[in-house]
Amino acid sequence: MTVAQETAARQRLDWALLARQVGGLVRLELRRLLLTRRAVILGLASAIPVGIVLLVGSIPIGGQTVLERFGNRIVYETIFETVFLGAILFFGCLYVFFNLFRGEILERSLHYLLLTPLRRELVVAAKYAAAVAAVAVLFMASTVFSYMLIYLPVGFSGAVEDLTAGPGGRHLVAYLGVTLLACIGYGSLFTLVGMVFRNPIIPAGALYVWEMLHFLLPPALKKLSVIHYLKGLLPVPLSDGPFAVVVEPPPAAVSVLGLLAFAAVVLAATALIIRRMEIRYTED
Amino acid sequence: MSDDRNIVIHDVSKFYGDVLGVNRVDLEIEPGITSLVGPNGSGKSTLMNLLAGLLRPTRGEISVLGLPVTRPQDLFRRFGYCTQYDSFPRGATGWQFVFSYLLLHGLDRGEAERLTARALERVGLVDSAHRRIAGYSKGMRQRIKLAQAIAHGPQVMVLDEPLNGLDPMVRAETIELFRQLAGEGQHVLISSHILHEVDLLSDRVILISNGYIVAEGEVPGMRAEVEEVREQPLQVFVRCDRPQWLAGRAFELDHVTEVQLHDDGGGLHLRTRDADRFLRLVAELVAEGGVEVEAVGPADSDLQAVYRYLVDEEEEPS
Repeated sequence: MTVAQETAARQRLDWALLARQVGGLVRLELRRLLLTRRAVILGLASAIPVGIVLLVGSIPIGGQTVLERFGNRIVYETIFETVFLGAILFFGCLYVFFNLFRGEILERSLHYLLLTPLRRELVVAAKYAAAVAAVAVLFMASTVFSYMLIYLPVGFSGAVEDLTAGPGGRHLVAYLGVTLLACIGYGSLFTLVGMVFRNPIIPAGALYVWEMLHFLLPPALKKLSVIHYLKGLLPVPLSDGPFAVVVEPPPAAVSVLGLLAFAAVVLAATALIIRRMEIRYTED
Repeated sequence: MSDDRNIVIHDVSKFYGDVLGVNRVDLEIEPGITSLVGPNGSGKSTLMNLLAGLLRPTRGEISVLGLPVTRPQDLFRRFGYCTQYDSFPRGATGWQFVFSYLLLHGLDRGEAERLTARALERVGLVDSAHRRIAGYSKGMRQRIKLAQAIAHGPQVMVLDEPLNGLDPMVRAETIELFRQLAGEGQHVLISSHILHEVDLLSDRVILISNGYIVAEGEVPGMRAEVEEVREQPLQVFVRCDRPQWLAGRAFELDHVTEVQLHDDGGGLHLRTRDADRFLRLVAELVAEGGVEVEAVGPADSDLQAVYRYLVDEEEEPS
């Protein structure tokens, strides 16, 4: 049997082999993300919401904590929307996903991956999946810890009751879902940005302004922002202020499927770029 | 493009914008050790990157063992590439570097561990395997790259300047490793500008200059194949008891263009366009008793001479 014939025979896909290959790359990438300085920075960032909720839940001002004065759901929603979704998830994803390929190009180590018997599209998919898993684990843990702290005023039994019999459990699931979808949506976007741009400052700045000012955009343009769909899934509606252009949030299914479809399309574009990519580090 | 044993490069050109990388390269490379020799910037790395699919040709086609280089899932099961880039994944140890990329071949952990250990042993890095690569010397980094390139047992190994930075002992061991691999019927394509090494270890040589293949062939037959070289004067040395007298006789011949006496007065070098006629003259003079010859032979029939004729006029290799 010639090499070409043997290869053709193997092309009748060996799914087990493929799974081992992709699994190997996912593990490699997870180690790169979670066992390096990058993980420390992400861990510190993900601890910020926990710290903020701890502060507003434990330090009394005028005899009451902020959680007690304004209501724990409103306070948590505000912190989640402005601090977590509005900054930490955005910049955390930027930090990880922008460097997913750009970091390896700058380190001049990307060619090692491209010299393995893996289709380049699968390299993109596996690296992206690993990065989503890594940031989602950190940020979802942050969501859980920070959410649990809103029960400081009511204690353990109050927390259990709200989580099991009240709306607390449903809210927590919604926050976790939004966190995961933010990692998926922003992750795909910043992976592509990292392939197209050498320096993240201008594209990330432009995207950030777009996302943060989405409430001022006309309804048609709102649909072109990730945060529009994410905010539609949040359990406690908050006002965007007197200047906001108010629209009905999209149905949850549309938000979820829309964000997943968006991520898939953006990843496909990234895969196309990687497929055509030449390794010429001197230009980078 | 159908040869399943060879590397076939058909009419390949690569331009970086207006800058020429390589132009109109036509090569068919058989198993064994093949050296790609040329000055810095001559197109060696471009050609190797094209073979590995890291660059895309502007024109032409490349196949390796009958496989197109655009299908990594097929190519890299049989192809190992040690690039010139002296860079590694951050924080990796030698073992992790080789082992983790073997896992991407779909091997189970046990098999990957076995192959990692074998590759590290072959390049002599077993003792340093669990140290971080960042702390390796230049020679050790070269060897760990080599280990990574050969670990999965490829049939084609493309090695860009693999002997750079190696000390003489390790260099000799590495050359021996190349010979072993070639002896197993594998392709070993090496780029180098250290001519002496290439001359010693290669089955055949490809000379490249300014993006063009200027000569190719087996080392001993290279001179005969290159018309341009054939027209160049050949340098011959003679060790004898009367070099000055012999120099005078040689100058009477119209094909001798230059004579230089050795500093020790025990011989001479000369350049001739017809070495056979000169050697016949020496034989006649010896027969007549005019001179006693200790040794005579071509002084530059090695690859370095060919290289000098073909390339040095344009750029001196570093």
